[in-house]
Amino acid sequence: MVIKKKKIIIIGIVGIVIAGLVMLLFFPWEKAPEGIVIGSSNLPDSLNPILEQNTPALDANELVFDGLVNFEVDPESGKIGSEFAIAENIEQDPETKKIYTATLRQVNWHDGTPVTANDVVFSYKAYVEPANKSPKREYLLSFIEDVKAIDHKTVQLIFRNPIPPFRAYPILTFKIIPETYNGKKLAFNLRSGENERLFAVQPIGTGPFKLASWEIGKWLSFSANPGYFKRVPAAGTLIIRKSIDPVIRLNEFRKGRINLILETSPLDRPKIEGISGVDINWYIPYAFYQVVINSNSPLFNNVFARQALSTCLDRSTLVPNVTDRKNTVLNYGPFPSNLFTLNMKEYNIDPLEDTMSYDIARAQKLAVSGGINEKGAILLYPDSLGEFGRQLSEGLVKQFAKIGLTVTAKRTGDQVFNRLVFVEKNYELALIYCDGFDNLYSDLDKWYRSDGMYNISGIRDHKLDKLFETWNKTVIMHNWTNVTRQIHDRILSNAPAVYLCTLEKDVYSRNIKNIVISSDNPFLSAENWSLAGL
Amino acid sequence: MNKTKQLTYIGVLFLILVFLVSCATTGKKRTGKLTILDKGISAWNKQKPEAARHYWSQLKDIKQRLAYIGYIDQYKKTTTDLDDIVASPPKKESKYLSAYRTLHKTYASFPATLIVPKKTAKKMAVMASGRTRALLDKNKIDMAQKIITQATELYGQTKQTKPLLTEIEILTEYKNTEKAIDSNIRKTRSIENFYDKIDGYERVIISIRKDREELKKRADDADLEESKPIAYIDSRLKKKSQRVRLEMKRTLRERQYSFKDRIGEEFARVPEGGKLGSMSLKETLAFQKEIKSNIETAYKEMEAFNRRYPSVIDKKMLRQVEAQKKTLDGKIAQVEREIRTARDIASRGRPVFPLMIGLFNPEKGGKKGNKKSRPAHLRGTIKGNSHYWWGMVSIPKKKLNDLVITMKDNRPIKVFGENTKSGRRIKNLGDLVNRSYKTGYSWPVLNAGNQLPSGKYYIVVPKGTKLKYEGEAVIYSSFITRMR
Repeated sequence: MVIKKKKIIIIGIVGIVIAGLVMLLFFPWEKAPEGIVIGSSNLPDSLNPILEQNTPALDANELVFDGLVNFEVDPESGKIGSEFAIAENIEQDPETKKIYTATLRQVNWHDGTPVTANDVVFSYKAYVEPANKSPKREYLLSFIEDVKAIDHKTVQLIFRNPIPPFRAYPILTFKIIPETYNGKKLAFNLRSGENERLFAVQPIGTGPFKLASWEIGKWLSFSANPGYFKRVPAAGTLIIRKSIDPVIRLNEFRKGRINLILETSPLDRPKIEGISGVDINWYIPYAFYQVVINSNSPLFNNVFARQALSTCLDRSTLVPNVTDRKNTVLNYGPFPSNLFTLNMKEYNIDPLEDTMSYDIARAQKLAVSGGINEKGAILLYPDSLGEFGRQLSEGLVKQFAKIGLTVTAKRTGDQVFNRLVFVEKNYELALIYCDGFDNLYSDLDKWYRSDGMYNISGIRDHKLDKLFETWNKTVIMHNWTNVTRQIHDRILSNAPAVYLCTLEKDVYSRNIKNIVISSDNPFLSAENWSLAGL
Repeated sequence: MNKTKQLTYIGVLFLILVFLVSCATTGKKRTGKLTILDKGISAWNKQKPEAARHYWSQLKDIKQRLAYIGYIDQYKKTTTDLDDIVASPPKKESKYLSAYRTLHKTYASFPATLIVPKKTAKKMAVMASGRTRALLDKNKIDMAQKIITQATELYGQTKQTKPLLTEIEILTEYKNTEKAIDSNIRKTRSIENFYDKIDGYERVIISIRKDREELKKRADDADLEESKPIAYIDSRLKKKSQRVRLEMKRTLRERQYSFKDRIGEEFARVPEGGKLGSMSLKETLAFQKEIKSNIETAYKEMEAFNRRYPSVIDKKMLRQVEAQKKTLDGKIAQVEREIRTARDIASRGRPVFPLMIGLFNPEKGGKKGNKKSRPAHLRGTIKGNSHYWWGMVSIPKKKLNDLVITMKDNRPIKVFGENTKSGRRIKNLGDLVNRSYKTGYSWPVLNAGNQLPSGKYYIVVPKGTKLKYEGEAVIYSSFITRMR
């Protein structure tokens, strides 16, 4: 009886194994596409440029969509300028200097239908439609009063203020999407409706690449658009492949399975330089490292305690040979210290006031007032920060010790880190790399508004909310710098985080010809890329 | 036998009487023989509609017979409906009005010879008065007038209809007055001469006041002081008068504001004809003096205007214009001083016009803080060497403004902050155009206030593919722009 039972079990197991093997052999697994492979810790969350998007999606927009004007990178200088894209020509009204008339090129959407003036009008209306909560809404509304189709191929853009072309063109880089998709007109509200939701995952644009496939959680592939108005992209296919672990990503790069890594560690360069066929592009990113303080944790609910953490740091010595590099930007406030010099260097604007720089005597007093001396705290940092995260955390631990605070640095997996810090908000100190910003850090409010999606410090300041409201609508530089100053001061008075630095960022590519990356928008020159040897 | 004789006698007498009466009531045919139709009409009018049936049923013409018998039946049915409505009137006025109209339509459709019996006419007149009142209360004067006029014609005048007719007459006069006022307003608007136009507005306001007084008196005399529609239409005239006054004030203010633009425009005036770029030093000075004098004239005109219409003057605007004039006087003096430095000027080349630009003299319609200057112009024909131009900017300290020079063709211009000495020292000077921001034919000098510390700019225009060239220099507020 027992033997019989055993036989049945063995036969069962063998059966399951055979069935599994058969499935493995005959299941229609999607084969990973071949082409230029970009390794990324995350994949786009949607490909609708009008809606809120994560950083990989913002990058991918550049492949699929064009604006009336596109930002382009100059291969020689690496400088970014603007060039006509969907617009063949744009003329400023000589009288008012407020009205711009754009004549559209004869270009087609990826489905072969021609681009019309109505598509441009629709796109603008969709950006400003409140239901879409587009991050560009306030910005576009502050500049543009109306967009009108004059005829099939002519669009009139009415600005609120007289504005010279060199200022107007960068504003006209907003991506254009089709008014009609799948044979049906899209609703202005792109968040609801079946066709509208489908557009976000199977979009059509006019850009150099078409979305070819999207294997959820694995990869997205883009094929060259043969009708691209500039030229047929030299690379037939681009693949954004998910590869979470930075060590694995680097190994894959070394083995030639990945051609481009955008997320890199400041410590990787020596390891990369030895690999053959590698190009290194570098630039100062719109990003920064910070330690967010949980004001709801008993230890840090006192502002003096939080300020003590900032003033006790000698930032340049945190990670030897990295934070003391020439191009490292040491930050003393929520906006990186190079905010004005990077964007408005011609205007000689006084830098933001530095009230949290290294002053150990003051820090020690603040620590006593805030009650954190001779106390212990935990600093979390995610796996994705890799070896640099470890060294930076160790540097922080050492320097916090100078005010009598014993900090223990703990490395966690990214998912656990995100859950503890962003979801449960169950942490004391969290080391975070913040990226995905534009040159003016327009999304910074997400970290500080009372209802901000990244407000993990727990500080709610309604006066600050109002300042951000004004800031988002302010477009005149003089006024904008004034409001920025007020925001900077207000945030520092709350001390929700310890601001560390912005490091020059390396981007590694291998066997890709004509690659130029000089900003956080890596695909500006993608239509010129090709795989070496092909 | 006696009885039979008596009856015959009475019968003959009755027939004679009937004959005489019918002769008396049938007009033309009075003297002739009465037709069956006439007998029926007579019976309708003198007895009751039903009495006509006996006669009209004898009509030989079938069509006529059916028609006249039909009138009796229609009258009967309609009057039954009328009685029902009188007994139980509809609650909704719209239904009541519709029912009245249906009844009236029937009564009015009968031939004119058939008189609506008094009892019925009275009921209809009462009903018509009620509907008229209701319509008047809703200010539907024309509809009310139509109903009451038709009702009076068909059912006769009653105690109720008389005041209604008077009220309607007054209201109609109000309406005619309103039309005349509208026509006068239109005429006034089309007057071109400013002061005649203002007089026109004043005349309209006075005439409205007089007309209102007259009509109000008429209403009071007719005991119609409490008439809602009269009060309403009178308030409409009053509002019209207020609107005309506002329009007049607005016109006056616009005139006041126009001085600001006029002064600003005068400051930015460009020499006419081919004089731009070819004026001698003396002519340039004379031109500046002319500008100064014209600004003075405009300012004096404004003062005279203010004295004439002191009640409508916007004091804030007045202060603005005064400040503007003061600023411009100062700038003119500065420009004149600059021109007088004759020896230096001679080497600068041609002056752009207006010589000085900045947001102190913004383009018309510019809002505070987001303005652009009026443009300075340059124009010429190059046959040989490059042309040299100079101009002045006035930008307050720490104000972030950009100077943008836009040419009509693609010739690459250069801008300097120092005298180029017609090219002799040019090699040692730095071009202030921010070429990375150069867009189309526009050449921006960012943060012009800082880059042009002397307040002067010098433009070098090279030879292009065409001999003629044209361009303008404009100061803009600096804007932020986002990029990734």
